[in-house]
Amino acid sequence: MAKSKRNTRVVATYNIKGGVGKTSAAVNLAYLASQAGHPTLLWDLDPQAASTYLFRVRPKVKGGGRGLLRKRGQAAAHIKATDHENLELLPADFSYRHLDLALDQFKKPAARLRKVLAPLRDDYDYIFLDCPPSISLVSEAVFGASDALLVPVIPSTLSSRSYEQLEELARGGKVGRTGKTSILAFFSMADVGKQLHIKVMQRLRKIEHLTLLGAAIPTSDEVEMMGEERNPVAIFAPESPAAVAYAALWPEIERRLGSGKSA
Amino acid sequence: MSGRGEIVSFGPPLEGVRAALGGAYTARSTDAGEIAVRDELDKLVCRLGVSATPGGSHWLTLAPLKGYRDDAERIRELLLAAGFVSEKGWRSARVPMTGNERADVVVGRVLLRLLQIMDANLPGALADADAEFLHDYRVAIRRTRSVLRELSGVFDPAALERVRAAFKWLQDETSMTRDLDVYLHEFDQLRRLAPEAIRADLEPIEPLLRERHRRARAAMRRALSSDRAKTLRADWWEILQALVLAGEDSRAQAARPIGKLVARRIVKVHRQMVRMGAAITPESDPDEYHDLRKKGKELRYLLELFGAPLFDPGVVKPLVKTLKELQDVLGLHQDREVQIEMLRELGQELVARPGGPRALMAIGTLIDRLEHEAAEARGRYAASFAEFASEAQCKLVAKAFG
Repeated sequence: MAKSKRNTRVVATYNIKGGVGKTSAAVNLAYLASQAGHPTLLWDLDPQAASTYLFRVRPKVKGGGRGLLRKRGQAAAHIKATDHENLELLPADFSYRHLDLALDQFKKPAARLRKVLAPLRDDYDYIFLDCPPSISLVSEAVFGASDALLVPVIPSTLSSRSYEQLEELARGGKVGRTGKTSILAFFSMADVGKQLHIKVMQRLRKIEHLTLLGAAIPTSDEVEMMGEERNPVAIFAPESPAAVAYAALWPEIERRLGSGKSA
Repeated sequence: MSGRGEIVSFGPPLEGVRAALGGAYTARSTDAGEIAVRDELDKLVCRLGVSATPGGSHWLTLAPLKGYRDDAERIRELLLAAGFVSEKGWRSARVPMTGNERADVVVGRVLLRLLQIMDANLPGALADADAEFLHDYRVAIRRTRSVLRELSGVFDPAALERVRAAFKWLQDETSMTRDLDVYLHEFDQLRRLAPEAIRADLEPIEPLLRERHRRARAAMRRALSSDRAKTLRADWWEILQALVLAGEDSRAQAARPIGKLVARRIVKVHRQMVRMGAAITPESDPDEYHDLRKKGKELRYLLELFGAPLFDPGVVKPLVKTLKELQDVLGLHQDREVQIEMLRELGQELVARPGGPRALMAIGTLIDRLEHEAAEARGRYAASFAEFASEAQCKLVAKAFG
């Protein structure tokens, strides 16, 4: 495999549970990366196609997920420019719901996604993977391809439990390439008016081996409005608490990835 | 070398684009002065760059977004279907005609279209909006002059003489600017042609070319805006308007069917070319190549302006194709000869300037290269001429036009 000149970082937004803010994190953070001048790609791996919808792109990939995985260099042909400079999208397709089966046909399914992404590394500083909620062959392949998993955690007991499980798996060497994939969690849909949320946040922050980023994304109307506006929050509500929180979160992630200015 | 755009709009562009796209896409102006075209998902699929040029035309350039090439093609089709004109259409002198029409009627129609092209390009040429405006303007003049020569029998000789002199003047007045447009455009290429070691020595040439270009352009602007040019245009317009009404005593071929007249000219010019071309050898004077090229242009204009609409495309197309190939070889040869001459002449002026002697030596090296390329073109000449003048092709020409 030819070594890419760029030091491309692959970042996956992941959580076993759905509805925790993965897509809004992927869309908003990818947008912030692109606006800082980094050529950025977002691959919407979720057959529900929420990020694809938010970028107003048709959720259709000719040849489906199987086609993308099979041939080297296929992915590039399906990439679409979004309306935002430096930000491109590999759209979702309904066939992604069978991506597990498609991956299973390869000798090393967990390494396949990494291979598919390899030729794209020349073109982007950041590649975001917006993952479907599950623990499956797809998530294994995502772990294998990523430099970091961004895990949105709703500070409620049940939701945070799934993050702890993931962390345990990681420590057991079962997530990603050993020692190469960092797991970065952040609080998502946090409601500081709720006692439970405050309690859970305090508890999790005290656990030493969990990496919880400082900025928490508050529960907000603006994030919900994204579906209506079909744009990142920074575009239609740049002063909103959610936009401000994402703007604070991104440099922190860049630092952790060793790609930020102060890194 | 065109940077002016791909599609021309004559009205307010945004309104025109909106009307053309109908319900399929929406169009909005952006702060950057572009038109953003969005699909039914409100996704931006194509940006239309807009540049207004003197003379009231707006030139649109389609910039499709990655992954949306098909949409851009559809947008282009919708615009063209709604009356926007492609750059090719802007240049096209093709007018409808049938072979039985009176020659003067058809010739008048063609020449009016050429005059229209001149009018459309003149403001852009004067304002130096893009080198292509002047180029198109000159092509229309050259085509006009060619029609005046080849189909002279539809005009009154006295009027013809006056008009021919006038168009020659117009062409002469614009030649220097066009040549320098081309030199400046090609200068980079020329520099690359030079060996690395002498590239820097060629630097003094560019400012000299620019200075000349500025002077030539100023002189051209004076000529084209002069009363003489205005009178010429008005006079020509009147001649064309009154052409079919004028008496026929002095216009021997005015009432002949255009098809027959043109066919005769095509056969004749083709025959002349075959004769001239056969006499050319690798040792021939560059002028002989140049004369053949000029004759080739005559044939090409006859074929394009009249041959294509009137005769079997199965004959016209392959004939134009082999002619084009021959013209390309001749053109390359001529370009190199002209460049060599220009460099020699520039050299004399450069000597007295700082860095002049070094530039002169570099020019010498460059001329060697160019001479080598001209020789190569001569080497390719025999094969492309043989194809053009092949027995099969001559027979085909005789059959189709004879």
